[in-house]
Amino acid sequence: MSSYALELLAGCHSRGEFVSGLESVDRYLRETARSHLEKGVSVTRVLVAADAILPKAVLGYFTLSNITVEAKEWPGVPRGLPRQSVSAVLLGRLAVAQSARGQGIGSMLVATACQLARETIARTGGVGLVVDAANEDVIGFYARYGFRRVASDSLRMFLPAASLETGMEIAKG
Amino acid sequence: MLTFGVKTKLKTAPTKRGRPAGAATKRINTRFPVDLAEKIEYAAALRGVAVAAFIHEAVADRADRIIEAESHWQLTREESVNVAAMIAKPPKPTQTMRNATKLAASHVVIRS
Repeated sequence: MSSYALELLAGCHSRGEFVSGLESVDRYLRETARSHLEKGVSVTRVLVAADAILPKAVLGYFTLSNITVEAKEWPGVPRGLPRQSVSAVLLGRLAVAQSARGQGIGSMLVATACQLARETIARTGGVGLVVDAANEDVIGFYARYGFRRVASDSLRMFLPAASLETGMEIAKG
Repeated sequence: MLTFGVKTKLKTAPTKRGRPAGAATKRINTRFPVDLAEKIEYAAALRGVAVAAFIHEAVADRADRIIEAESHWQLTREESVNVAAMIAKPPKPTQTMRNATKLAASHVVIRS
């Protein structure tokens, strides 16, 4: 039996109690995430204990959305990539509750976000998963999962679609 | 602390830059530290515009950039070189990623 469940953000989740230590991501969960989910701007999923009682405490969350990527040229890339624009999945926010640190929640959130991004790309296309690190400290966190910085002066990182395949599946239920 | 009231423009069609056109109909009141308020007043005076107009322009530009960054990414030359290199030669999953996926596969169920 699974210990944790990943769920779409809903009214049964206790958003107001979530404290990650980064006010901007806490406020997003409290004030904006549900509205963005309802309007189709982005999709926020929360990790809760599998047997959580209502209101369910949020142990961590992440937000995925689509992003259009444009380049004037793609130096060195194999032929066939359109010059105008391609799509990708954006991992805009990922946060772990301070009270849930040390349990591998961040790792499990990254892994599930990558699987969902991979499934989206398989259905609708996309070149990979883009992530916006909140600050320089977070760059190292994502680098351990294979994400690479796209420019020396940017907090944006990237992992191509082919790198999202790990050969393992997280179950759905 | 000083308070500036800025009227925002709503209920009209958006302009090309994403800012609504037409009459300002909604007021946002916010407090500023005195030194920041004085800096804004000085900058607005240098530009020769009213404080409210200056704040309006600055905030709208910032909002445009934030919204754009979440939906559209125009790569610089350095970014396109790096992204293209990764697409051409995708890195293999790291041990940390494999461990994370194994952990999630053992302990997480995706309900929706």
